Amino acid sequence: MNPKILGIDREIIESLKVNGAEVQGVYTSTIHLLLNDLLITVGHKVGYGKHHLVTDQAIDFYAYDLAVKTKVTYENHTIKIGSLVLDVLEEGIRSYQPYLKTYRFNTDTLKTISRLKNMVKDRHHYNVFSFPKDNPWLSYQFEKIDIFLHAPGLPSALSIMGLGMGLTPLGDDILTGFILGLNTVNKTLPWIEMLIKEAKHKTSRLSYQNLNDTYQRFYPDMFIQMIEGLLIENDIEKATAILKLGASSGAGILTGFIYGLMS
Amino acid sequence: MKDAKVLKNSYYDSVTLMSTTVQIKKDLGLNDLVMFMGTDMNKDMIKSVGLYHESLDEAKPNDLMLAIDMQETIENWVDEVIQRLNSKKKTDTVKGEQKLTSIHQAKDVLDANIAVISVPGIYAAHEAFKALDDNMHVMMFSDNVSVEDEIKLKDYAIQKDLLVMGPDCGTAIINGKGLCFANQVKRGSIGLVAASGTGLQEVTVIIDRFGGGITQAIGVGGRDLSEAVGGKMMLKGLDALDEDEDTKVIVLISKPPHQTVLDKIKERLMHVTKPVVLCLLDAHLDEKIDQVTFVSTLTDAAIESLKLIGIKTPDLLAFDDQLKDQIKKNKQRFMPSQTKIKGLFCGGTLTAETLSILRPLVKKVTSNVAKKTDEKMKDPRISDGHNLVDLGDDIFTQGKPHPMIEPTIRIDRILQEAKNPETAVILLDFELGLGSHEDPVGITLSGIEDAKKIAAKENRALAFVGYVCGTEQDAQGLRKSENLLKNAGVIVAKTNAQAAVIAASLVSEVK
Repeated sequence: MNPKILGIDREIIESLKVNGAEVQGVYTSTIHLLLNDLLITVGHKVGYGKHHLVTDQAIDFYAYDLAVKTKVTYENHTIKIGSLVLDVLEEGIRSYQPYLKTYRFNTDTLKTISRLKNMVKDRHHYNVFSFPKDNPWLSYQFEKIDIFLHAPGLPSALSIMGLGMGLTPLGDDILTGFILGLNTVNKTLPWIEMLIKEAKHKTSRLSYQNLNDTYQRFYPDMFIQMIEGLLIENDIEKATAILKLGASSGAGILTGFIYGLMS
Repeated sequence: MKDAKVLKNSYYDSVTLMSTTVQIKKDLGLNDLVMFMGTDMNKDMIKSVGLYHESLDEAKPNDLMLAIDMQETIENWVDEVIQRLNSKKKTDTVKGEQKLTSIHQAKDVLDANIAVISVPGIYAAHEAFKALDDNMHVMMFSDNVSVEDEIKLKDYAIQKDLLVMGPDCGTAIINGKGLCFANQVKRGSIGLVAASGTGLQEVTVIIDRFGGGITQAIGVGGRDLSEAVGGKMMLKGLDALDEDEDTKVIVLISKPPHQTVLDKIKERLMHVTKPVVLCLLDAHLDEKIDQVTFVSTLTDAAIESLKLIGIKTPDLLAFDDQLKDQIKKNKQRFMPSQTKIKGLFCGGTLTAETLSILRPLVKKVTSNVAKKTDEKMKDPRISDGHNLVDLGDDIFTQGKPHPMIEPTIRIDRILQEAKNPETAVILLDFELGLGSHEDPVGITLSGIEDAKKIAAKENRALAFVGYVCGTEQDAQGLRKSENLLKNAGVIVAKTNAQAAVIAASLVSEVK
């Protein structure tokens, strides 16, 4: 029996039908598809989101010998990626909408944010609040990040864009979190739009897309659970799933989020 | 020599890059290696530390930049790095074996009766329910499962007469098969239930060493004995072992449970038909229950259970003449400033046992596993006084493997402690067996040597005390591992408890 798609955006389906896509990157439990200029992440644990395809089971993509540029097609509720066939469930086709809820601060919120800050500090080794100062790589990154957080603006934001290791560099994670925080309290800063435009050629494709999706308020469900957990239930444990993302991505997003909220 | 290379359109996630960088640097003997995406900001960063090479100019944000500083020229360094990165990627793919993609499929194909679940916590409960639906016992290695889900899972399992071991359960031995982290121990007549991973390992390896054997070793997860969960699986495991014909003696191991849970366990123990050893680490019980022996260390739990099946053991805390001589010589080399023990542990329960043993032996010891406020380390990353640090704590493992899997992350801390003038003794544990690193001792030796050199520059001599939790049948080999430590000048203890007493005697504070 083929693995099933439990979540896919209706616009993505339409675009796949017309244009097809190709494999852009293969990892153990996820693959990236390039659909026009968009990166689509496919996997069981990726969470629901506009640019995510959620499968009903874990798939070891290495087992299918998928190569970069392998063609991807959609026909009759079936996505074919090389030898891998995925059945799209009708009920899994959704129309993702921007998350437009915004929140106001009260005393409880401030206490929650303070506890969240302590959680990042205490539970993650690499964070702007405390990190191994004898590591020149981390010192370099966190000094620049510290400047941005305390004086956010286009120059300081650009100075951390694309800064750091991995698919989504730490600097971009901070910026993603920062924009998420601003959106959450319904604040806008005039230079953010320019920042997103710059991201298109200053950082990796995946990182640009994360920033742009966040700016457009197309959040993965993990972000929404975190926002509602923190600002409605005042429960910082709802942020732990994000804190555990990647080597430093989660701590970066939460740090940016805190400063974005308080900005 | 410095060099660089651009890998076009190559993506690796940050966890892979971070963990692989450490290993590649060590394997190839590099001064430095960086692997960053080709963004302008990363180029600036590489320039700032003097590793930039003009060949990186062509890198684009979707390319991976490699920059290297080699002690000696390695012509094919790029191939070596790529090979290691890709082997890290593909370790999960086993050719020639049928791929099973769901618990239900595994049940159908293998007729499995136990599911080991190791997925991110937010998904683990869902998978566990599926396994229980398919009438399988469950071992949940995953942590970060909500307490509400844990309770529901355990209630459902009890209804179906099944076990849920975990969440956050690291060790079990079922019908002779080790699950997750476990040692190769003989089968025998002692059954164990434990809310403690390395605690279970420690007791089973001591039992094995003196000729005893195990029927079942059931882990229940650290939260099972909380008030909310109510010891559901500890009680279920106790009943299962009481009914098991092969089990002649039962051992229960836990940190002190909530009082309401302890009351339930004591009440159930009154009806158990077999002799029981109840090991509550760091707790003392005055009351008596027929057929129940109370102990408060892992070593005593093993000794008492062996005694109950007719095996006598020597005094595992005693010092022979050779050990006394080693201690004496090490003490003579300390400078006046060197008065403190720095315990750097991979095993959480071994840390807790050491804390309970050292408390009456030295003045003021703190740890990140301590329950008492005045014994809690303010910041486990910062050393101050006698410290026992569990390096498996979340604060050290975010985005990184547990130190039992990747012990190199402990080396930086060993070197940090070596720089501290108050450090006299560095106390280390090494876990062998399934799931653990293939050579936890061997990979740490260079760190021990470097630490000694750091201290020697300031005319200080460090004493290292090590304990290897394992058996001769473990792939890493107990004797081989112990000999490596002895050859490196490390004082090797017979048990974790003895290691603590040796450390205390080295700082001359034994009362």
